[in-house]
Amino acid sequence: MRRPLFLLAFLVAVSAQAQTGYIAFGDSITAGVYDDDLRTEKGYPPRLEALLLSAGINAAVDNYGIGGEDTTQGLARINAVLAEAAISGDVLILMEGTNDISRGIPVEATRFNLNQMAERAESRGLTVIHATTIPRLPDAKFDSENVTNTWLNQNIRDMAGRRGRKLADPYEVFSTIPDVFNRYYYLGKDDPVGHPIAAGYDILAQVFSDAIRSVDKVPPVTGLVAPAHGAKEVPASGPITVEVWDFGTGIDLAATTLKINGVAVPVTPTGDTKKVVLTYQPPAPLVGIVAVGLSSRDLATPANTVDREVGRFAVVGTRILTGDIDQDGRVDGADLLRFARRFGSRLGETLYSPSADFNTDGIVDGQDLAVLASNFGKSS
Amino acid sequence: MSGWFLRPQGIVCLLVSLFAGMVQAQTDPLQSGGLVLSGNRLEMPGGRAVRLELPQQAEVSALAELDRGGWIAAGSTPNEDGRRTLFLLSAEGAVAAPAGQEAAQRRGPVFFVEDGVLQGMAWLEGNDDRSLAVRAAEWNGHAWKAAEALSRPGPGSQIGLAGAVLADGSWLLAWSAYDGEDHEIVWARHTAQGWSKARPVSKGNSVPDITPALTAAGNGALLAWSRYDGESYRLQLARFEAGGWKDERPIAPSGSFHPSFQGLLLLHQSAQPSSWSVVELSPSGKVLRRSAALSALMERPVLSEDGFRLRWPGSKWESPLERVP
Repeated sequence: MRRPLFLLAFLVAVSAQAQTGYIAFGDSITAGVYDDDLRTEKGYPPRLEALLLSAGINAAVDNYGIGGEDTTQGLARINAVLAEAAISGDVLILMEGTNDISRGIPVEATRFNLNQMAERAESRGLTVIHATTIPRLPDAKFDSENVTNTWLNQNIRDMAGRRGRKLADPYEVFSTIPDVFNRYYYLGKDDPVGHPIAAGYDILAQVFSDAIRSVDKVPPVTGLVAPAHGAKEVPASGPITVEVWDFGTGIDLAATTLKINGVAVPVTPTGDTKKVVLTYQPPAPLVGIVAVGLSSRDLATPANTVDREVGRFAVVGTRILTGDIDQDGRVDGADLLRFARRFGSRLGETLYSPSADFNTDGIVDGQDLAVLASNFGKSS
Repeated sequence: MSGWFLRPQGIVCLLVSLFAGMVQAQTDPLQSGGLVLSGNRLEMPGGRAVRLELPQQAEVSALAELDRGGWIAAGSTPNEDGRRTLFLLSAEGAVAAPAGQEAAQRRGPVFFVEDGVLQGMAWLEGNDDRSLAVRAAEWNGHAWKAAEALSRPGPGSQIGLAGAVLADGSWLLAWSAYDGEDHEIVWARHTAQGWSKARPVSKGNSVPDITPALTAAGNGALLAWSRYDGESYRLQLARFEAGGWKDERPIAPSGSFHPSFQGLLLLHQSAQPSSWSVVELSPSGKVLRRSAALSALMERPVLSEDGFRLRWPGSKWESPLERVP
């Protein structure tokens, strides 16, 4: 009889707390598109509510997600939602912006729109939790490389940090899960953006639960990076700047450094444990392909660590060897694998890529293979 | 466009659309004259349709009808080397993109087409989203002439190219450019003397001006875009005439966005009530008629060939247009 009594006491304790109302506002990824068909309440909100209740937090999470919505549309809707939720809403969870990318809405305007929504909630006394947008599928119709999405999320982190708002970072969490798309995403051809399946929504709810409960499982994350990833013709003597944010316990500054082409370099850090800007001024002009890495950890116990490449650019005058398809500075097996995928394709065909058609004759064939072979093993 | 009357099935369509909006996630289609491109399905006048073999991860942004039943589409696609390059497809097959890519990515192309004949194209080019320049090239009927830069990278993103060929044969291009504080709509014109300097359409302000749409009208052109009005986004309209912009004004209530033109029909979304609306304009920009189809679908519809309905090509849904005040 002990267990039922304990459960009863637990439920009484939870119900005795004042209930906190969470407004989950966003697009289809809040609405729960491609969630389990058998679930009557879809998406992360009902899961988050269950997680919070099980942690002893008296919470109600209402789903205000609308499929396909961008932030201009969201901005037109937010007032009505805030008015409807005026009595029960205490916290606005704001995760929107991925549809802006395919609608030609500039990232700066998306940031403006999200901030407007947040300010309206704050003016009504609500607390705001921003959220980064999850990675887009590798075959998403727009921004399949997540270049714009990365920039958007750097802006969301920057805005949340500057405004002193909480941040949930699904982008960081999903980005570091091995084989995340095959395991946690809907992979049908009809998904133009990238939606989680049920297991993915479980993770999403956990990310929000952790942010609300201040459970720190996310390492320091990058803000704006300059030169940008993929940049070409970068001045050889210019500085390299990487912003680093931490929305949890803070950055372990002594353990935070940049790596240039895999080697730790002396940096000038400015900032504090919440945000630090790392600036590296190369003592001699840079040459070739430059890989910028971040090595850091936070002050949590145990620490959350990050040690990975955050950008790669080409210095002005860099001659990319023919055959160096991935432009990592050498012609190697990785290039051969990429070439092999395109072998036999012609201009106008799905598999054709000009980056593998070295002699630009409109067909990826043995002549191109011979070109690659002639440079195989060489470095820029 | 005639025969406007209330249709009771609008309510049904609203309910259907509400349901569909919760479960569908479609990409916005492109419409140009009698052509509609949705995903890789190209619908042509008369009910014909073909499946295009688009490159992997293709972003298609340009579609144009050419004479003798021809068509051309363009977009961008990423390569293994991290670059994003342009691709062009026509009824006859692939067309080479303008040579001379100078930066890591090209994207967002638009065509200049006069009387069904391709004249040129413009696109964005730069190392990343924050440093895109605007470039353009002329098509001589067989090949591209050398590309020209008509706007250098600014302090932020340049995005949303919209182009039109005017009655005098000049090309007009408008886009949204970040000025260090917010986005403004800027424009440039191509005449026999070359491209003019890019200039803002309106006086500078401190709110976003985004998503321009452009159409030739009379001897000039009409430009519609979304501007934040302190509450929501609201459609603005301006008229290009005699080398300058005139009569700028709001063209729809607050909560209106995502404009596109089909000739002089301006299609846009409205928030209150949730609908997609069509504004029929005169060449001078005067509003002749307004109609709307109630729908909670966020994805852009296309106008049906008869002009009475909106339909969402990625789904089965369609909704009748009803005249509104």
